[in-house]
Amino acid sequence: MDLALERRDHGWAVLVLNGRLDLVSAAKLRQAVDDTVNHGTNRVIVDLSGVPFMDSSGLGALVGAFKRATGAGGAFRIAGPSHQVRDVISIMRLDQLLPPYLNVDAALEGP
Amino acid sequence: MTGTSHQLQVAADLECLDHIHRFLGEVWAASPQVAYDERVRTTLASAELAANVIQHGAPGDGAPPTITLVIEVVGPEVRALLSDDGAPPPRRAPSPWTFNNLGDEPPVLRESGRGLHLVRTSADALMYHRDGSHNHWTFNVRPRG
Repeated sequence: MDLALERRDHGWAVLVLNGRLDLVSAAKLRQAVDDTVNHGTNRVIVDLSGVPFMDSSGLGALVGAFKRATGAGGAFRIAGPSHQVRDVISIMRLDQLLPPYLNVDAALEGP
Repeated sequence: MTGTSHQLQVAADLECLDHIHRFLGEVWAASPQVAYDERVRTTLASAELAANVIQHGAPGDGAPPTITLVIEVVGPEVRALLSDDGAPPPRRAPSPWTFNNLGDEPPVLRESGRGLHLVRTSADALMYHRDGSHNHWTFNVRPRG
């Protein structure tokens, strides 16, 4: 999985993922969120539009990212999840914790 | 009804999941009668079970176990058997074990422990048994009306 960081207005960081978010790649996301928050940005969006598949480890990394950003007084949102990613979130009843935004622009607008 | 059978044997290392996704892609390419939903559910269940072996299956000498994944396609239905020669799963359950005694889902903010729950919801039937030095997980994925 590839990961890129984009800075947006109003103190948002967007982590753009490309590839599977699974046991192998989840640590990469966790580290990127840690680095982002440690460098003073606690408003984080993960762009999942390039993620065709997510497993329970990937879901755990999203939950961890939520806790890391909100625990630092910020916010965490996910954008553009595929059908499969939305299903995994929904099956585990995490829709309220991780409501999916259509895309990054929608996530930036909130609420 | 007779079906077609496909088999993959792979070491349970970090590249294992790449092999499984590629293998299942080949199975779906040869099985157009299997619908998207059944493909996704089969892939998720297989990947979760394999991830369990990668994380917890290494025996005392540290060498990765070997995973054998057999996929049988019968009409629109998928029957799967995932076996490995690694350690028993950490959440040691009676063998044989069925998915009805898995217990509750983990709390919302927990970051792990959802793998078998995802398998349970993806598969229409799931059973585990330990046979000597091997673990065997079988599951079916049928179209849901």
